[in-house]
Amino acid sequence: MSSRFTKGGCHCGNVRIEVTGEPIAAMHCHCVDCQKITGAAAVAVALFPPANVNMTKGAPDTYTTLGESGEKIHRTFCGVCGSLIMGKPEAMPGFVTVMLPALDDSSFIRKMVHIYTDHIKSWTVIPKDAQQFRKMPLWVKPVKGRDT
Amino acid sequence: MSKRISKGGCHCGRIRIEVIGEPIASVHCHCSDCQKITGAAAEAAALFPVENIKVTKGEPKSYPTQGESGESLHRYFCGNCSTPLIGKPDAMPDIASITIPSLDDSSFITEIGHIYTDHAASWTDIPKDAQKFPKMPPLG
Repeated sequence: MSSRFTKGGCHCGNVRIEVTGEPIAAMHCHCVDCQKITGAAAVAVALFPPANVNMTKGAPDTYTTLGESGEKIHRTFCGVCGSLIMGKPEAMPGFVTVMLPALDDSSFIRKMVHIYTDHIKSWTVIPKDAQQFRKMPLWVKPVKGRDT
Repeated sequence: MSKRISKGGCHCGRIRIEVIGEPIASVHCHCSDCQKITGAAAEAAALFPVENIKVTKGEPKSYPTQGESGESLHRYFCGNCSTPLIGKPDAMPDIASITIPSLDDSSFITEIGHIYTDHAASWTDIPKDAQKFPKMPPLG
């Protein structure tokens, strides 16, 4: 039985990644940092175990922000075209995030939830039937040292 | 009667912008270029007359994509934190866009439609009663 194998990368093609397997979860994050850094209402990500995500080409840049935990989140992007590609939250080492549009084909993503919805702005409307979490849902929150 | 002056900038603070007046239109753009570059379902953009948008600090990087017209859209972003800031379409040289979250206070923006919904990703959540345009609607 072979597992899913998905390729992806940035807009200009300088950075390429490969992802194996199914995501742990998929979510739109509406936190203020994600809004500003994406220039959107929310970033759209899928969570994968770190070993399942590999960079196969390119030397992207990284920008580090602080999560609500006070620990770092490393955001990987292409310095040529500005595409956001991946995120690595130190507080939750059980997964890395991959931006869904970075995948060549993201149509296998079905159910998405909305997180950090406390922070949405006047120009954002979340559909009424969408699953929303005011912060990070506990079921995707491995605790450093306990679960890893 | 004085016009609104809105300040904004990127996440890390290296680049600051100022925008004068009210937007011509505000949109979530679902085109595949905006999706890939933002890492989001759609870029949230507000359009203004080009002379109403100024960079007041720092030097953004620029990357061109090709609009549906075949002409270039120049996308300005911060090379340090990746924040997209300004878009300048060669096909509409009198107009430029800013990303709405780049504004320090974007609460004056409320009415916002969805454009290029033909290209929206399968996992996109657009509210049922939202104003949707399969491509770019005519402006003004």
